[in-house]
Amino acid sequence: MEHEKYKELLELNVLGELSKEAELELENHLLECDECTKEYEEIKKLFNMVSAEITSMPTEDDLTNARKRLFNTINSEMEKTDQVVKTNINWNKIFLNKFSFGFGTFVLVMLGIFAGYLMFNNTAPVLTANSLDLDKIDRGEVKIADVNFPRKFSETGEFEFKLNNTELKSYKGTLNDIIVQKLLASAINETENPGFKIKTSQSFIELAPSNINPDKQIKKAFIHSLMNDKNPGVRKFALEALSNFQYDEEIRDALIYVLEKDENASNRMSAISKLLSMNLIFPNINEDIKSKLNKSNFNEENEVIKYKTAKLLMGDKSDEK
Amino acid sequence: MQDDSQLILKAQKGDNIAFEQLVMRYDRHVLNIAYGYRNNQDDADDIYQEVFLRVHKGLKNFQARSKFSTWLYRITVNVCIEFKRKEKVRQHESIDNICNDEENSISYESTIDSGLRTDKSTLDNETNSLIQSEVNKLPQQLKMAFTLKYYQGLKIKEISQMMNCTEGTIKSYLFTSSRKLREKLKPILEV
Repeated sequence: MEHEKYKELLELNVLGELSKEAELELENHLLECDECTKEYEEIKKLFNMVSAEITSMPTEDDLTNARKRLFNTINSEMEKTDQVVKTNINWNKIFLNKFSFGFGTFVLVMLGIFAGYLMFNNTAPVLTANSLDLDKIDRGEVKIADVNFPRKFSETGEFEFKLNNTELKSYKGTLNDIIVQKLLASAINETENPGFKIKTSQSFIELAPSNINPDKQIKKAFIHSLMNDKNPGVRKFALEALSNFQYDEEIRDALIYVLEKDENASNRMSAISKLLSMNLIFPNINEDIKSKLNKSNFNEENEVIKYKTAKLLMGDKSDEK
Repeated sequence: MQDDSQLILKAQKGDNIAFEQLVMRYDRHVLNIAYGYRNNQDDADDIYQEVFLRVHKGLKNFQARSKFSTWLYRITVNVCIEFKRKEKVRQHESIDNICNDEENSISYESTIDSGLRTDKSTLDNETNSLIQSEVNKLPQQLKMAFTLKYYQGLKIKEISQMMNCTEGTIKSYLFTSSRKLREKLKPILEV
């Protein structure tokens, strides 16, 4: 019986489940029991072999793929459920009592007449994306009531806009769609909500394809946020979103403005880092820019930013991509 | 950061973002448990999907009598064990497969004694596959307790909560697994 008790303790000790006192008691027993010592060695050997056998675990990519698959399944199941609920409501409301049955029939007849009208009357208005006047969006005349951002891991990556004063009541599309970019720009310009602006920038950072052909208006909206927004977070994310664009002089000037004027050191640091990487594209810094950089460096308190700005002025692009 | 109970309340009201946050708080562990149990990424992924689909469906009825993590890991354990059962059903459909498996099974003695296999990594790989093959033959409850302890390094108390049984039962599962494996792997253990 006593011996059996020690055999359990042997296992528990190898599994790291024994208290200090029990461990001491076991050690004393092992000193005088060859049978238990032999078994102890065997258990330890098995433990070491099994532990060494664990050579791989799921990678981050495996986890990300599993999440994508899960959320896509849930999304599509929810969409199906929504459709079933909608259908049930119609049937319940229209056909479940005698009075409603007559009304339901009337509605169906009217729908049939309307469908016929749409099919045979060529002058009927067709609601498509063309109903949206691009210039109207640029002028801020298309009022956006609500924006649904793409859900995380959504395969389509579609934004959905609820519109107020157009024939088209809602519009869906991805960032490849110029209308989506214009509507986002318009929404950024119209709102004061920093959360919305940050979310738009984040979506752009996460979802914009590398070969995106950005619309002027969205670039303008990000530059405006970067230079003028009161919220340092909004400015930071606007700066990151602009990294998705092909660098040009407009972006360069905005970054120099941040370096000169932004009170937030982290934003100035990001700006100088981007400028250093831009130096690969703009190798020649003209006198006007040099003077601005010299001035900002004179006033700069942060040593790292000072050092990086000096590097930019000297045309040293080591350590920067 | 929102705690679990806040996220659960939101998710129960249909907030999918809250549900996603809840998933991402625990899913690495769920995937690791599934992988440890099956030792196969595709199977682990299938178990992961089934676990969280059950959680998504069942969350409305979750009344916080236990911690969310305990509930989630119990579902994980159940799905792992059921997954094995499903596979068994499939295997029994084909008698040929079973016969082939027996023909292809490896003799430990011949593997260890074979003079052809002197390369250390080859030997290690073979040892690993032999261990895995024996672990796979353990009854499901024993295998579950064994993989949670040996591969995930969980405490017996935690395993007992996950498997919804007493610590004594888990100890007994672990002792039995260890004894069975030592018997089966005796030729390797004595090398």
